Amino acid sequence: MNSLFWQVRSRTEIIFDQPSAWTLVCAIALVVASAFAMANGAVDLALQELPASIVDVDHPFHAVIWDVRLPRIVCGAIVGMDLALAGALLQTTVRNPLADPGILGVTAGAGVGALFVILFAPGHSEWIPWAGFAGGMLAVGTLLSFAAAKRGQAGTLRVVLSGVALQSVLFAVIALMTFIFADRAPAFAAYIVGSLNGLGWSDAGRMLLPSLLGLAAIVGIVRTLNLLLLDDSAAGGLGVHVVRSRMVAASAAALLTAAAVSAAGLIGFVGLVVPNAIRLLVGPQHGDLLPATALGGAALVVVADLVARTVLAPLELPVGALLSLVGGPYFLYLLWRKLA
Amino acid sequence: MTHVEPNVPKAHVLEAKRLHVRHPGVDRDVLRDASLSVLEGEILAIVGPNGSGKSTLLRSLGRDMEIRRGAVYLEREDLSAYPRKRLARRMARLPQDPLSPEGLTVEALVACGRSPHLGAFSSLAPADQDIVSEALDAVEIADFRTRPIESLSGGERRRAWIAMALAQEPRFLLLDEPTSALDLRHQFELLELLGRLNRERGTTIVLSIHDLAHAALVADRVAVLSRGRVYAVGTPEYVLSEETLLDVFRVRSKVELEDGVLGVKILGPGDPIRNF
Amino acid sequence: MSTQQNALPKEFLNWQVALRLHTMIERNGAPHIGVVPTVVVKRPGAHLGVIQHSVVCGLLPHERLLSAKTTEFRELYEGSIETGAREVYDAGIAYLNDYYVSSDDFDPSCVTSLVPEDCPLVEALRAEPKCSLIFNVFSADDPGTLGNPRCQQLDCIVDVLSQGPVFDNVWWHNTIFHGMADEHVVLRFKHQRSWDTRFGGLQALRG
Repeated sequence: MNSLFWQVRSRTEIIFDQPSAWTLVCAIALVVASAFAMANGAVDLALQELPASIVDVDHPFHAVIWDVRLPRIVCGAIVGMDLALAGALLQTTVRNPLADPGILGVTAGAGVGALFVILFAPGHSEWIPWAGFAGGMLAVGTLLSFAAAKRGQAGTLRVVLSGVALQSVLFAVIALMTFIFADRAPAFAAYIVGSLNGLGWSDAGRMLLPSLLGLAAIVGIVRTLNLLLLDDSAAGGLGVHVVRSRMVAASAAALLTAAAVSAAGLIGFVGLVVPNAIRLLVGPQHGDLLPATALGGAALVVVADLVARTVLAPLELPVGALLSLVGGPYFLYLLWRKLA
Repeated sequence: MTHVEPNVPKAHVLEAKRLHVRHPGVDRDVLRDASLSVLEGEILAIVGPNGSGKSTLLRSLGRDMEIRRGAVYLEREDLSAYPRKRLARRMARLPQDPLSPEGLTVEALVACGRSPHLGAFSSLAPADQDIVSEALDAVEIADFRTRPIESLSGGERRRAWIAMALAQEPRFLLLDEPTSALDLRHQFELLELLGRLNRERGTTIVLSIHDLAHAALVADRVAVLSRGRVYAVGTPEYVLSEETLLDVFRVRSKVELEDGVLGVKILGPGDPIRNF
Repeated sequence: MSTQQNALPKEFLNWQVALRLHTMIERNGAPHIGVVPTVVVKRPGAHLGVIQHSVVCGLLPHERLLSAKTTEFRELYEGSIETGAREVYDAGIAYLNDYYVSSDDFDPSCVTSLVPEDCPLVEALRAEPKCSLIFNVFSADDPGTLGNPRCQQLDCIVDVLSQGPVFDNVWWHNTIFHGMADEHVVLRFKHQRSWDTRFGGLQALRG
C-alpha cells in the first residue's frame, strides 16, 4: 500500500502530474550540465562567455571546446543514454530492478569482445562495438537460459545472481588479457572502471550506428516491453511471444552496452541508478520511462564526468570511479529493500 | 447457474482430446488421458482434489502448458497452430496468482488487455478507451482506475485482472482458481460477476474451483478430475453425488438439493471401493 | 509355454474363477483377499533375507482367446474414455460380470500382476526371477462353494514384461479401472509347483 513509489509520487504529483514533465526536466538537466561541462575544466570559462566561445572561431576557448570538451560531452551523453536504456531493458527482461548491464555481466562480456579487437586487430577500431556486441550476447545467452529455467520471483533473483557470477568470471578473463598483453592493452585500472579521458569525435562516431540500431529496436518493442512486465503467463495470454521479445530486448541492451563500452570501458551503475530513480517518478510504463531514462542517463554521466574532472584538479579521476561510489551504495540499498 | 434444458444442441467449441501433460522437469504425467469438451456459452467448473490436475487441464486449454500427447481444439482448429495474437483476441486467461509490477495503475493494467487488438505501433484509440472503461465498470472498480495495483485488496486486484481479461473482448474466459484466497463475500460477488458476464455477453467460461457448492452454484456443467483423468462431466446434480465424493474425494457425505441449491455436507473420511 | 506338468492345480484355478465371479457380483469386483497373495522373493544382494510384497493378481486369458480379449478391453476403454473415467469403469464392471465363467477360458500356467516399475519387488525379481506366491484365506464368505479356508503356496519363475501380448492384456484390463501411467510392468508368475498348507503339513500337489 505505501510503496516507495507511491510515497514519492504523491508528493511530487502536486508539482508534476504529467510523466512527460519529467522528461523535460531531464532534458533541461542535460543542457545545463553540458553548459557547465563546457565551461569548466582544467581552465575555467565564465558562463556568460560560453555562447561566444562556441560560435566565434577566434575565441581563445573555441578550440578547447570543439576539440576537447564538446566531443567528450557528446560521448558522455551517448554513453549515459546507452547504458541507462540498457539498464531499463534488462530490468524489464529479467523482471527485477536489480538488473543492469554491469551486474549481469553484459558489460564485462562486451569488454572481453572489445579487448579482443584492441589487442589482436588494433587497426580496426571500427569493429570494436560489434565485437563487444558479440561478447555481450554471450552473457545475454547465459542469462536468458537461466531466466527460462524457473518462473516467478525466485527465478529472477537467480538470474541476477548468475549474472554476478558471470561477471566475476569475465572480469578475470579481462584481467588476464590485460596482464599478458600489458604493452598493447589499455590501462587496466582505467578500463575496468570506465573513463571518458581522451575521447574525441571519432569515438562518438563509432558509437553512433550501434546506438541508433539499439534505439530502433526499442521503438519497435515499446508496447511489448510493457506487457513483459506482467508475468510470462499473462503476457503470453495477451499474444506476446515472450521468449522472442525477451531476446530482442536483451539483444538491444547488449548492443547499447557494447556501444558504450567501445568508447568508455566498463562503466557501471548508470543502468542501475537512472532507470530505478526515473521509475519512482514516472511509473513503469515504458512510453514514459524510456525517454526520461535516456536523457537522465546522459545528464548523469556528463555531470559525473564534470565532477570527476574538476574535484581533484589537475588530477582527472575516471568517471566510472565516481559512478561506482554513488551506484554501489544505491545497489546495496535496493538489495536491502528487496530482500527485507 | 441456469439449469435450463437447451432445445438447440450446443456446439463443442473448446475440446481437449486425450491429453497427456507433465510439468517440465518432472517425469510423471499430471494429466493422463484427460479429455474434456466445453459447450458454447456455458460455464464449466473443473473440480477435484489437490494434485488431480485441475490447474494443468485449465492451462492446457489456454495453451499455457506444453502437451506431450493429445491435442486441444478451439472451434475445430488445433490450438497449437493458432496464431498468438488471434488467440489472445478470442480467449483470455486469468492465471492463479499473477504478479504485477510496482507502480502499475489499474487503468494501465486493463489497457494491456487491448494490445492483442492493436498493431505494433498504434496507441489506444478512443474506442479502445471506451472498452477499457466498460471493463472497469463491469467489475465495478472504476473508482480505482488511477490507483496502483499493489494498493488494492486481494478481491479488488483479482477483479482488476478480470477487467483486463474482459478488455480483450474474449469469447472464452479461462480462470484458474479465481475464488481462492478471497473472503466469503468476495467469493460470492465474483461468482455472481461471472454469471452476469455469461448471461449478458454469452462468454464461454471455464474455471477451476475448490469449493463444490460454489461450483454447483455457478456452473452449468461440472467436470470432476481424479489423478489426472476426467472422472465424469455433467450437470452439478448428476456429477456431484455422494458416490463421486467417496470415489474421488474419499469422504462420506450427504448431498441435498434444496430450493435449487446443491448443499454438500461432509460427514467424514471414507474408503472408496473403487480405486480412482 | 504351458505344459501339463507346470499347470496350476485345477482345483486352485476353479477356486480363483469362482472367487472372482463371487466378488464381481457381491462387491463390484473389489479385490478379495483371495486374489491378493504375498510375493516372497530373495532380497537382492544378500545371502539371507527376503522381501515380501502383496500384489493383486489376475488370471491371463487362454492363449487362444488372448488377443480377442485384449482387443475387447482396449475397445471398451477407447470407446468411453472421452466421456470420463467413471463411464469406462462402469462399462468394465459390466463386461467383467460375464468374464469369469469357466476355468477353461484361462491360461493354466500362470497368474499375472501389474506393478509400478520402481517398486522394490521388481528390482528383486530382476535380480532373481524366482518367488513364492502365498495365498492365505481365512474369511468366512460362502465357505461351501469357495472352499475357505485356504492356504496355498505357488512356487513360480517370474517374467518381468514391459511389452508384448501378455503385457498388453494385463495393462488394458487394469487401465479400465485405474488411471495407469506409463511406468508399470507386468509380472507373469509361471507356476512350477504347489503346496497346500492348509492342515499344518506341506502336501505337494501336482496340477
